[in-house]
Amino acid sequence: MELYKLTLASIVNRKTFAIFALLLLTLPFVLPLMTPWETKPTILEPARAQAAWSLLWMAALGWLLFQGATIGDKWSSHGIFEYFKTLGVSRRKQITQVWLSCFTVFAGFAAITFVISTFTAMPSDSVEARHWFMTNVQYLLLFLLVVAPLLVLSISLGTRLNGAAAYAITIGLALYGLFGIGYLEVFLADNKNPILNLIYVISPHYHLSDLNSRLVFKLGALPLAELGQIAAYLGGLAVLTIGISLPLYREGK
Amino acid sequence: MKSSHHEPSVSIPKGLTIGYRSRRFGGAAKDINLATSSEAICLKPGRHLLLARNGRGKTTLLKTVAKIIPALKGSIQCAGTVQFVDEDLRFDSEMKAKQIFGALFKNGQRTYAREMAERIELDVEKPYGKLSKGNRQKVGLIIAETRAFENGPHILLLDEPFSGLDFAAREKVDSIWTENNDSIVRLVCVHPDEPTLNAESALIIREGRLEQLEVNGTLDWMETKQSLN
Repeated sequence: MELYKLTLASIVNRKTFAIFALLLLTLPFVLPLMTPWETKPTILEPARAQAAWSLLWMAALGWLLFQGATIGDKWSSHGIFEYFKTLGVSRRKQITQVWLSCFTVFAGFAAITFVISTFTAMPSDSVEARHWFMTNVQYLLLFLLVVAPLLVLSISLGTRLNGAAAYAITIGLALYGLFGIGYLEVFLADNKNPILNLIYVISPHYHLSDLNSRLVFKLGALPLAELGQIAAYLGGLAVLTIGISLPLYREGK
Repeated sequence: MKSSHHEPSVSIPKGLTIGYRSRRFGGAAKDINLATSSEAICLKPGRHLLLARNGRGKTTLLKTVAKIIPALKGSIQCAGTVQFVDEDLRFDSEMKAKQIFGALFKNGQRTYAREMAERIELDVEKPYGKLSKGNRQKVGLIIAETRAFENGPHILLLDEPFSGLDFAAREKVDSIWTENNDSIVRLVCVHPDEPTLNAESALIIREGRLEQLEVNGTLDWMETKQSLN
């Protein structure tokens, strides 16, 4: 696990994670206060949860994927991966260790968000509170199913392209899956073009993992069958993404 | 100081060919041969220099031994833990050498690394990015030597480790190598213009042939340099 420790030490030493941690800790409490909440004080708590999860998405897209792309780029161009290869650390172990080092820090971010969203915005009614807790657990699960494989992709692309290109591709894919598909869906409502329909079907529907609206409007936890379907879909997408990423990975440039 | 269960060695068979396989889009693969061994070569514990002019395959040979790239023909057998320290090996510019050692080594090794750093005058408190080229080379050397300090046979493949090192630092590294010579094969790629070094043998790449010269002490440097032309 030396590559893991080296990469983690590098991430910690650069301290950019501290900025994101601070934002994740403070902004969910500050941002809702910038709304006209006085007219309806009950929106404050759902707004806090929404802010917390939205900030976590921003941290994933802005920090996590960037870390993966730049570390993949740096370690492959600077001979670090080749050095570990000579020590017998296989490609799969290398990518796992780098992935784990990025995710170790990011797990802290996810924990902050989960705690803020679950415990500082929980409804007082016991039934609603149970649903609230379950929705947050479900949200965390689906969120991780999207973000974790995208991190593998950003690391692999970083080892093959440069960091900026690897980051741009990964964040582009993530933004398309989260928001772009929504626009495509609107367009397809009035258009029966089979090619566009095919693109829609094969697109990564990452937006399925976004449960913000369920929290904000207190729609309750997803039924288990629906959760299973979404988790199976995102899990399959994760396997596909990792399956594409591993052959892309290379130790040296 | 350390015990070794097996003697490390590197065996290069006669006819081994090193080089690159270039693949053009839509075209057939083409081999670019750099050198072929004209005899079977066996490297035993000690220091072995690798000499050739620029672009003749020094780094390619090291990478082939390290199994980073495949040989075009034949295969190299290594007995022992291999470490390839590239001339361009670089760590995070923000990290201090002591943090790098801390991440890579456990307590005993960490102490060894710190002692070696002191001996070869490396400032472990300075960020890696602010170190001179020579001092960055020292970080790579210390990592390789510290890991080789573990029990077991080791093969160190060092790509121009002395570039950027001043004379005093070279002498100190030289004495560390001499003290710790029994269980480590060191194949050291050096530029022909480097000052003379003690060695057990020298591998030479000239006119596309890889050969081993027995040295028994110091290489006759001028004669070897001229033979490379």
